[in-house]
Amino acid sequence: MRSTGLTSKSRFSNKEKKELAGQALSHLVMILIALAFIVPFLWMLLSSFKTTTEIIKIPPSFFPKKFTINSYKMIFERLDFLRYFLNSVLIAGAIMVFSMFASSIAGFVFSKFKFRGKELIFVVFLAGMMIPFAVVVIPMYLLVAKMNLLNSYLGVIIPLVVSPFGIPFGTFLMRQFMEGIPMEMIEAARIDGASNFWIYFRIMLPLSGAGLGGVGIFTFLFMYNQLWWPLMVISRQKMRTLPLGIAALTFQQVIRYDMIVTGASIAIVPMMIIFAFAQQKLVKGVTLTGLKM
Amino acid sequence: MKRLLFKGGIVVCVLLLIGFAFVLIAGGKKDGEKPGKEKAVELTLWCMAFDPHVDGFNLVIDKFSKDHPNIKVILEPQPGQAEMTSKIRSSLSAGKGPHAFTTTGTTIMEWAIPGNILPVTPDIMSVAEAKRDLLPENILQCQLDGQVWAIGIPDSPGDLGLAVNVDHLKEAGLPMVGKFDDMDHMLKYAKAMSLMEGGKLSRSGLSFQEPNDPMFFYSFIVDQGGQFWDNDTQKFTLQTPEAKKALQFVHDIFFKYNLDSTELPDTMTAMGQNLCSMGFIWSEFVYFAGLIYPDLNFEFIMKPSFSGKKPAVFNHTDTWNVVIPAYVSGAEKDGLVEFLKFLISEEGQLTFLEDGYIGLSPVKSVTLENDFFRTGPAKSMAPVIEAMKKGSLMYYGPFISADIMLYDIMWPIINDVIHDQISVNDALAKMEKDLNEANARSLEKYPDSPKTIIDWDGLDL
Amino acid sequence: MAGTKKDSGLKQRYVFPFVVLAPLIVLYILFVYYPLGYSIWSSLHLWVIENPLKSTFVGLRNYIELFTANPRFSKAFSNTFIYVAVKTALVIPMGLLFAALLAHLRRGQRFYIFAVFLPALCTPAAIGVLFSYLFQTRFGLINHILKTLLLQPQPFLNSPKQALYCVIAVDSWAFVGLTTLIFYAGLLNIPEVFIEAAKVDGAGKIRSFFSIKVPLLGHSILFLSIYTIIIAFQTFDFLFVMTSTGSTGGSSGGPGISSYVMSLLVYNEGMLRGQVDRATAVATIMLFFVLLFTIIQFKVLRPKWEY
Repeated sequence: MRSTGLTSKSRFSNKEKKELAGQALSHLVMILIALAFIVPFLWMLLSSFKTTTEIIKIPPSFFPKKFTINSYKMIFERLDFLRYFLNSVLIAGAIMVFSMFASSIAGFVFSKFKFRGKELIFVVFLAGMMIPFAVVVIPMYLLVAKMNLLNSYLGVIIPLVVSPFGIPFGTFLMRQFMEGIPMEMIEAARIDGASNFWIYFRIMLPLSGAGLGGVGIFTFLFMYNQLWWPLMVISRQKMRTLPLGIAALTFQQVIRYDMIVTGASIAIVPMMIIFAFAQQKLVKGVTLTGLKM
Repeated sequence: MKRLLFKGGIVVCVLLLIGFAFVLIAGGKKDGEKPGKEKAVELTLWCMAFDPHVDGFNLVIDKFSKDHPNIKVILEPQPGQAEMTSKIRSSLSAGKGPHAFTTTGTTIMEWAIPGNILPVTPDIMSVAEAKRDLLPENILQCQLDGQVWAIGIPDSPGDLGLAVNVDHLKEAGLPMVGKFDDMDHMLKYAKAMSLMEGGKLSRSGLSFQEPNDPMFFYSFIVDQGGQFWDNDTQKFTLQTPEAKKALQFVHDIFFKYNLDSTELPDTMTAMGQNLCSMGFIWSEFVYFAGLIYPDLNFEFIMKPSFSGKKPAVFNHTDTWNVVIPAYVSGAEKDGLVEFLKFLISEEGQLTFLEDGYIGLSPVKSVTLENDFFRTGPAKSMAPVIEAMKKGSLMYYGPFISADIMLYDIMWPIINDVIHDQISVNDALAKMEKDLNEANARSLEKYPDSPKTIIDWDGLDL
Repeated sequence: MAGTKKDSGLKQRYVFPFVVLAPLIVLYILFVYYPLGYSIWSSLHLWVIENPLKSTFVGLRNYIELFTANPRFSKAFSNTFIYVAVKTALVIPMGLLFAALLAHLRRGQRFYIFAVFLPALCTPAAIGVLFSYLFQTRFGLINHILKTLLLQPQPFLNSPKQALYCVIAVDSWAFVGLTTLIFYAGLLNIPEVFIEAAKVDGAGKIRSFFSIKVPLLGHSILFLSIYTIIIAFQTFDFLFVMTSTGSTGGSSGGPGISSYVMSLLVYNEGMLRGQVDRATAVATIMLFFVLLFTIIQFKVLRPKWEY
């Protein structure tokens, strides 16, 4: 940025001034843009500490006049949001683990094995990604009901595992990643008499760690935010997931905005914190998967 | 060493996974049925997460369990009426679910015809007793096989009258009345209470933005002596002068009298936000609002007759009831029968109403004779009771796709009318066409459904 | 290496895949292909959900009725395409713009990326309800800002004309972080060679952006566009929470049916009204379009594994 010429009188040459101005302008624009993304969340957080009547006051006030954690008390006690949160984490976590395991081992099979009908079966797998949820949701619901899995964790988890962002997506990506692992390593291991499972655990998994991580994060995020399927399957309040709990706030005859901002805060703040800390990793994971596609 | 650690790690992981799986399976839904426990019975009852229903049931359950300690009724309120209906459909098709659930009278035929629910006669009462003791809608809503198919809970006809904000009344210097004498009386009150701000309506004096309001529209027609359904041809007939007048009035509320505006929110929301002084809404709103908006004061005023010729009619097609799914049997069914017997008894009904809920009881003696509705907490219903005795109670049905007709056809079209998106004549033609089509489709699916005959003279009690 | 060793090797090659893939295929059949078949099958009948055996076969009648005699479907159909078009038209160019800005800046990217990408991670339901509060006509923040700027407050979600666009705006707001990030990564990956070459040729920043960088991002742009289209086509969450009527009639798409889209129609008809046949017909139409878009995506983009 600085001019290297020590002899020039002005600190910056014209060209550099122009660049600085460009930078400043860009920053200004970016700040405005960033504000557009931050202000709603800021407003949400501030409102969650306001009293019920202050939330619907006209004109709205920015800072809470009377700071209160009443909304949080109510939402945790009467509306059981802690339970919803735990349900969501449990369910998303289970799907993520199962998905990671299944996609990686399926990816291994598809990338390093040759057998008749392999591509056909692969398409069968991938087709899961192309089928819109709307077309399977109702029969799937009836099936789950018949299997007596309504209102159960398994009822939510199992169908989601084969939904687009579970195994289909994961298998596709893992296959891509694993194709990069040289076949020689595997052949060498085979000659040494290693079993396929051994190869999977000790060669494929460690070497595709990055991709697997990306898949895991993606899957977890996607499943955590799921609304439609839990909406169908869960009718018992205790089993609700967080998105469903939040959506349920709009089912009431009367909309309680204080609960809405508090519920939204509970859903969003953990994400904020995780993102703030793991930004690098997350961003890397997303761009890695994004670019692979 | 490394290899051992690794192997150990694998074992631990596998164990964790198994444990995890165990937690998942165990942590899920537990079936309410416990085979082997001889006397103790646990029943699940689904109701809408609507405070008056939830509170009412809890009162009844508390009282019931005192005398029947071995029958445990677990109430599971479901958020959203529509959501609950959908879950019921799937429970019925899957053959498992709650032991009983509440449903509107408009859906009972749909459950009964394919055999998905059990009749409540003769176990809970005989057909003769039902006809004698219960209000007619309990029979009319589904007359399949001459049985009775549901146990009613307190609930009022949807188009009885209006809810009014008492403070706004006082503000306008108007005296409180139990019912409006005629349309002009009502309009006078409405005009006095609406507020303008900068040339636009800022508080409506007469709100007509509730999805159940099409019921009022039907009654406006019948008040004039008109009919919107032809019993002989089994078709809707909405292109009549009476229908036109009725729909024109709705349009006039917004565009001629300037008493409501589509820029203001729907009736219920508007009332809660002080944006509405008076509105056409189901009467239980008054009690419900008392729970939700403790600092607002609402009262009920019975509507006037549209034509002024005879007392205003009202219809109770959208009753609320408890029904028994067909998969309930054995000890559970017996326990449920005991519970429902209590629920439909006078004592049970009055227990439901204990906290001051003003829904009309399906039990005739409670509604027509008991002081609860004359001088007690529900005395605002007194003019309604009088009108019922004079033949104002009607039943517009039964129609299998009544919910579709009301919420997916009637209300959206009327909504378009008040948004000035469609003319009154076109709206009537469209309503007629769509309603007949919906009805025809249902009949194709359920060819065994009985004919719909509406008694236009009012029901005898 | 003929003889037993080769044979056992082959067997091993088949056994392992079988053991691995078989249970997954069972899951697929149960939860993907069986439901798919059920949907298509029931859409060809007048389906009695409580007792399917009593259904009557009617061929394509449900589909024809959807297009000719069902105003809600017509509205949902056109709304879905409007939704797709507007959202894509918003998030792709904006993503490019933001990415270009980010690439232009020397520092501070981390903060800006945090701000822009955060909504993409959050639960759509939570964002949806938050904005239903912000869009509230009387005490919502957005109308307050409009009033402060001396502009006319809008009915937003209460208006049949505006409701859909409000939701699209929110969806785009939450989605643009993803496009920005991917384009940004793409921009960073452009080899310096090209940029240097452009500079040597005397191209300014903006010119080089449009004529060099954007075309080089072509693959990403196309991919993201189609991805956005496919996702937007099935949009459900935002609309469900933001346009919920909340009262007795149930389900969303209000006011009236102004913001109905096809997935909402599937939910409403199928779950709330029990008209499974209509719902699955709508869903099958959705399937058709999504498959169409996906095929276009594969054809146009030629995924890497093929060679």
